[in-house]
Amino acid sequence: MNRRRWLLGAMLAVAIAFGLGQEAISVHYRTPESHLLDFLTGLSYLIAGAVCLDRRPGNRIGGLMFFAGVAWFLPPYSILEVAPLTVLAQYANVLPVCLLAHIVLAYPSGHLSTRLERVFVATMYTTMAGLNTASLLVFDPQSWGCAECSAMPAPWPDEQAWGAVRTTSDIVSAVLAFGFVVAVVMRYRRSTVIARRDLLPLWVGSSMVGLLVFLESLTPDAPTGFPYFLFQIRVVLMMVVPLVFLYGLLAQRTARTSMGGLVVELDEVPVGGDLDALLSRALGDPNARLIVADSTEQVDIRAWVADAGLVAAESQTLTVVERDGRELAAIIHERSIEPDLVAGVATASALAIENDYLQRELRNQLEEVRASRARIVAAADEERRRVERDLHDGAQQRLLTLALALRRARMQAADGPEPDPKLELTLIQAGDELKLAIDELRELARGIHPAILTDSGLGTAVVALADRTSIPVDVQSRLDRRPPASVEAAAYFVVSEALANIVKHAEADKASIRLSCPNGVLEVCVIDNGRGGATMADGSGLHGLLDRVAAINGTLDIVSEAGCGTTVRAHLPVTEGDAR
Amino acid sequence: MRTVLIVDDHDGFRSWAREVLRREGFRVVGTAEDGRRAIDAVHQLHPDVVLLDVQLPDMSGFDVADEVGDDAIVVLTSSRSAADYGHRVASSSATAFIAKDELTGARLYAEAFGDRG
Repeated sequence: MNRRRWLLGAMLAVAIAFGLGQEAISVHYRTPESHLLDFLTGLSYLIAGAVCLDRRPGNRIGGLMFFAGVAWFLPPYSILEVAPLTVLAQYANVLPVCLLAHIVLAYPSGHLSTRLERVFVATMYTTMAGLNTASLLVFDPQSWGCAECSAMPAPWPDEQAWGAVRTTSDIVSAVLAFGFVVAVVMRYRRSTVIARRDLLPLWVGSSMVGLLVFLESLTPDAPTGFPYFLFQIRVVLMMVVPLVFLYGLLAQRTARTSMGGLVVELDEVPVGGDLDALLSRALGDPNARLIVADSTEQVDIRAWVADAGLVAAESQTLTVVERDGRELAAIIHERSIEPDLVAGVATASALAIENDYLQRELRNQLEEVRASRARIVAAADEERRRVERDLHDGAQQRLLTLALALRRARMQAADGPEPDPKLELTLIQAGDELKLAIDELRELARGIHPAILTDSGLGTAVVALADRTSIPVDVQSRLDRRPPASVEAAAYFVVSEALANIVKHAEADKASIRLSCPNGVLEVCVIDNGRGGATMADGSGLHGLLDRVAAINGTLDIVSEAGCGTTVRAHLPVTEGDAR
Repeated sequence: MRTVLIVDDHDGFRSWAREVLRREGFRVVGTAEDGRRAIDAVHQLHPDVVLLDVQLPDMSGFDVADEVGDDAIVVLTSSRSAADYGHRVASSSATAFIAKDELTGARLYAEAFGDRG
């Protein structure tokens, strides 16, 4: 607990002791009133005032309310016949009602918002102070024969003048009470829907107090009967009004407590989603809107919102959502909503918006990495195709030309006048070696990138692959058009690797390959009837293809229960428009 | 003597094949360096056999074979092996495939005419 709270607690304790003291005096002197009701009414103002001072130190409402509680307890002290107390008690007779009117008209900001209200409150304090001063000057009941009355020495005791002051006071009270009710009605009429919803109980309660003061002014003072009944009802209502204030404060605390929930909800809704509904709920304002800056760059959001004409109603205002000095968004809301609540919502919104910016940035970076990886794989594929073409057009052609030259040399040697069997044998051996070299080069080129895949497509290339496999392989291709080159290459190498594994490890006597492209996804399925038990991580070579498949946003999985064969399945997305 | 038309875009192969096939019992009636000229030559020269390279500058050997149809026996050839073309060889109009480094007159004769020679 900080020093301010200690001080506040001490003030409250002293004020309560003060209240208990006045009740003790009332009981001692047998004042005809409900002591408990009287004490509770004063206490409700003290507590509501203290809570308000604690929660909103800068708001005048708390001080006014605490003062009203103290003033409420003051009048009975006049019985002690201590001159200063007697004077203060005289002023304190009507002060709580005046303070209540001031509080109601100034709530919740603490300031009187219109000139009329300011004039009304000033008139109320001035006339009441003037009438009480006049009363102090002429009211001296003992001087006109009331022996049991308290001593109220007045400079100019005059019973007739005092009667005139009382009559004037009743008239002024009636006029002011009526004026207060009119002021409340005017306030209601110019308020927003939210303000009406939040403040209606306060306005109704205080207006009833005003009407009761009006009625009391028209009836003679009496400790019993109808006048006393009116007084008791007014006291009860005056006790209720601070409770309504307290309820308002606690409701704001509830709203703040729900801020955590708002943060969670904001996190679940992407910016651009239905954030307005969340804000409306959190602020209790059905017309609340969150305007988020399009760019992460620094923007003047006030000017931007003003240019767009987004603050539509006179009753609305704009709160900028900031984070680290950067304006992220603006909340458009009713002016009457508590600034603390709006600030809380703004902070939660800032967190959510910044989080969304970060997520978007991360997504963009991830997308860029994916695209980059796909480009790298595509470039590698293109390079493989180029190398295969170069091998075919270059080294392979030269070796072929050499082979043909050797064949020609053999023919010439055989056709010569003196055949040389040794030379012929050497040429034959050289030709055989050359043929082996050509075959190996063909195999190498095929492994780098099969020409048939480039020339004839995946289905044909896979059939060629199956034909070269040492076990029967059934191929079923249901491709009505060619997928993109990168997808074809990934699918081909998955099939190639799977078939190589089958031959090397699976002990299968047959296999099948299924190619289909339902719903824009190329499905490649290689199934064998071997011993199963294969995994992706056992150095099968399929693991190395995971990156290639992932680079085009595909998936590769293997199902291989021991004794039940193996199924290798790849799903490769084919972007609409990329298919050939 | 059987007649043959040699179609290939490489001069060296055309002259070499011409020499080999002439020596080994064929009469070379002409040569062509691309698909369109090859089709024209088939219609003008009516060879018994067309030795046709798969990769030509203007069209593939498979397409040329389809256009030649029954007008001549087509034997495809390439510096690649038949395995590189998969079932396209079998499904084409060509009668057979001989890798260039395996070309001989006897082989061409056997692939083109079988036992009919």
